[in-house]
Amino acid sequence: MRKFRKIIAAAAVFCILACAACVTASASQGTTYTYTISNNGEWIRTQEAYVPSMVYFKDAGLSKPNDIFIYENFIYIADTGNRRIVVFDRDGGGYSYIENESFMSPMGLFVSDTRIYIADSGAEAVYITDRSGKLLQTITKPENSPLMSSMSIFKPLNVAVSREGNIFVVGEGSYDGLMQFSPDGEFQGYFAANKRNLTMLERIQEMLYTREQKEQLLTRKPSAIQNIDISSRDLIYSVTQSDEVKYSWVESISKTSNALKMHNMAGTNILSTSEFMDDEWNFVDVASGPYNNVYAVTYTGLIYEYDGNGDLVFSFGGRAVSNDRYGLFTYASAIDLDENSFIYVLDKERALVQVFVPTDFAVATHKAIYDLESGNYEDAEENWLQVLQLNGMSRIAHIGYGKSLMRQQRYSEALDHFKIAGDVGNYSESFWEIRQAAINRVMPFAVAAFFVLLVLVMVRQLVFKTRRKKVYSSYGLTGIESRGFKRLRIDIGYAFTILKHPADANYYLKKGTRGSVISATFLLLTAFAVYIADLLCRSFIFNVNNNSDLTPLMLTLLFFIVFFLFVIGNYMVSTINDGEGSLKNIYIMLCHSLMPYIIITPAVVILTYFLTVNEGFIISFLWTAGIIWSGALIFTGVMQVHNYSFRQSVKNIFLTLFFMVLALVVVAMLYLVWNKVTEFAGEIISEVSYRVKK
Amino acid sequence: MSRLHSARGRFIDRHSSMLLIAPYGFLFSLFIIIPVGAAIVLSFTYFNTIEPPDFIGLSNYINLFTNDSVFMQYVLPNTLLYAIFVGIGGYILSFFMAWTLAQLTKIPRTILTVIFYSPSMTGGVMLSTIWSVIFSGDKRGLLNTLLLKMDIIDDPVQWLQSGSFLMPIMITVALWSSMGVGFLAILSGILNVNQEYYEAGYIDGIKNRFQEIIYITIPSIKPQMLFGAVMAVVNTFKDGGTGVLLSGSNPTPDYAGQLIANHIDDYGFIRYEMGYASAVSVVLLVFIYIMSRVVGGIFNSSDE
Repeated sequence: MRKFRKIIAAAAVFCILACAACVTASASQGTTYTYTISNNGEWIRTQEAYVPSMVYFKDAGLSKPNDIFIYENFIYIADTGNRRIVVFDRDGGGYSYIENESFMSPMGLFVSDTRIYIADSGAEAVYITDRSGKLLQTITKPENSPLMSSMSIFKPLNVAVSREGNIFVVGEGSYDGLMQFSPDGEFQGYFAANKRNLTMLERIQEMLYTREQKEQLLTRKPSAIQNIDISSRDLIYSVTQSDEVKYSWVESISKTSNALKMHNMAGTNILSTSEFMDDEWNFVDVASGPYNNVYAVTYTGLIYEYDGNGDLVFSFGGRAVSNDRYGLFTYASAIDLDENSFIYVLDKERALVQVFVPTDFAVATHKAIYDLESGNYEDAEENWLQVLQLNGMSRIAHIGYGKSLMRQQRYSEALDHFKIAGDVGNYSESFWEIRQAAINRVMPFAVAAFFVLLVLVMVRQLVFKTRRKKVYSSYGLTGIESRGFKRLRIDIGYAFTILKHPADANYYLKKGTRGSVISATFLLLTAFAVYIADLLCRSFIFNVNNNSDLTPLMLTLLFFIVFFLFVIGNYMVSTINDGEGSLKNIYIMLCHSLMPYIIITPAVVILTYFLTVNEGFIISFLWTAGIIWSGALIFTGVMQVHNYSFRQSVKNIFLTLFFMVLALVVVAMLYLVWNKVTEFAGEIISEVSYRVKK
Repeated sequence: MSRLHSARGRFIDRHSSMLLIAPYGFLFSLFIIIPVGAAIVLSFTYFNTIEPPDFIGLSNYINLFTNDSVFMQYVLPNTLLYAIFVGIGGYILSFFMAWTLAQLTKIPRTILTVIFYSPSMTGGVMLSTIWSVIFSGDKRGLLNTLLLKMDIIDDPVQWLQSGSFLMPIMITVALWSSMGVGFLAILSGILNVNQEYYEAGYIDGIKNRFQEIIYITIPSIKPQMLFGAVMAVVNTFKDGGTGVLLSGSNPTPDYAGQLIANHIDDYGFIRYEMGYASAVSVVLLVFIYIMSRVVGGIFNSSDE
């Protein structure tokens, strides 16, 4: 922790210096803010990662260009409106054109060492030319292929080619997935189709409708892939726009769509294992980066960069509304990278290409990611530290720094950073290593101590041969003479009886020979303390709550409102249902029934400091056992207190729960109309006072 | 008379019990005590069946509880889940089956008892003939055909190879074959309850059959109930065949059906780490012992 404070201090100093430097150097500022994901999973601003620099093709006469591809020094643009491909030499600065009368509307292109692949949706063909533009081969819709129905349309939107020459074609409305062709143009089948999840309504329709009715419904197609790119490892990235989300005004749904995917050979998505990814539903293009990173752009001009695990690194850019500022887009249509990781984004409306240059911050981040993945942990540590000094809140930086420390076996330092980043998995892994070392250190002494104790016990048994007499508890048969503090002590001690003899204990509690309101209140307060400890004092690995979100007042209210609503509700329900118990009986019974919870939960909380995720089931099992045991005690308690049969008790408990819900609803309604009520009362009072005065 | 007074006679008299117990003692120690003792000793060693065992202290146990993520993440929760469902569920099921059968006349009762009891005898064969056909992963599997026909699923489900379905199927199959020795004991117990108790009970105010069970039947057959409970605990904890037979592999897919017995098999007879396997068996032994004590405690405490 001390180390981290140093880092913050260093970061602060650095920031001040950097600001001072900025003023004098007047560095170009980004048009939009750059965002990343913070420690607690929220969007936060970070330093500029990319700044807009150059603009290409400003007066090149492009018309509705749809794709950009950068190969060595050349920028290729699919100039759809002019039915040609424009090639720009970044060194020489001259334009050249690839034209052919069979081009109708070239939408996407891919350039390899010797070939140019052009996807033309108007001509329904993929043209393959050599680098000079001479047409070599045309792939049209496969005829008579058993793999493709004659009904399906073939309108290629974009194309990507693997190192072996396999051609992947994105088709318009091709919900079967990407079309895969062999190097000589033969159709190989579909690849990486999206899945279509049924909505609730559709599930119900599926269950109830007859076959005829189902045929009348619209066919349910999955979304077609929007665009693809191929990485240096020949893995295909795809982006999909989802229709369902387009109409959704619930923002959170757009997070679940996994719009960006990385496909393995089988077409399965291997980018992000979690269902939640910080993505957008309107991605139009994707470009793979050199460090397993990947860039995606929405048509509104938002550019997202992800690392190899699908975690968001940076997000920036945006839409130009009624002005022409650099760094914003009217309608972004394609994205690509050059060898320096400069980002080229094509604007379809304004028919130009804008270039974004990574800042030192972005370069440092990339270097750190790269070093960590390639195993240069010492370099990675240094680079991540640099990134952390620039932005001490960055989640990926903390995780990256922690990982590089962990790989260098500096586990206890790594722990701090995983904790800050909220990374339970890695924290648990580091903690496991620390614990393992401790076990190996302590084990011999523990074993020795165990045997010494064993011998001592045996010796003691040999020496004092008398067996301890079993003391039978009278379970409250005899009255207690003592009063005051001594009585309280005995009552609290008696609370343990309920664990093994719930029926007996509840009987004597009801009769009043054991237990009292004071001892019950003591138990209730203990239970409350245990409840608070369970929520707040668990170790980091098992603490599912974000402590900063919990206010003490809310927790207190939650606990006591639920408890007393149950007591009052149970009393009210039982008085009209022949229940024998008084309010006091019910209160005492309920407090005593919390005993298993009071005993087991502290043990659970202490255990969380010794267990890792690996042994996590022990925690959840014990905790659930405590709750179930307490629940069972409450049930038997209700039976005893009200002298109910099994069925009556079930009914009683359900009615009590119903009362609790009802009471909460009434309070909520009162709360909503509270203003009106006070207003009404106030008006009456003023009216009355007015009349009286008169 | 005179023989008893001689010293030799007294010696024989005093120690003849030793001689009588000797055959049993010999067999018991040969088949139970020595193997269990050997397992305990081996559990402190590294033993791969080729080289002589190598004493490594407690590290097998330490590894088991801290290092073996399969054991902690899958085996232990699975075993517990399986024991709770199959142990408790199967026990309740066999009691009610036995009670229901006890209401029948002799001939149908005998026939049905044999039918109910047979799955637990012929477990392995029945598993592969009946359940594998029902849960077969192709389109011709009975369950798949049915669900496909009803348009509930689009593709056949790999029931026995999927991590999420294997455990529920194992529990179903185990419940189906849980009418074992405990069931027979409970049945004979119920049949031997003195009928006069029931009449007396009705005079004393028992209102229905449920009260009859609670107040008369269960208290009367407590020994058989205890026997059935212990058998249920022991059987569910040491059961390991179902998952492996159903899925056809050990380890089971995604460790979904991995129980302690499978884990022992895995280490003992697939990886030949006998020392480690012995340590797991010792842990299993301790588990069963504790559970039997708990069960015994439950049944004894209620008659105080």
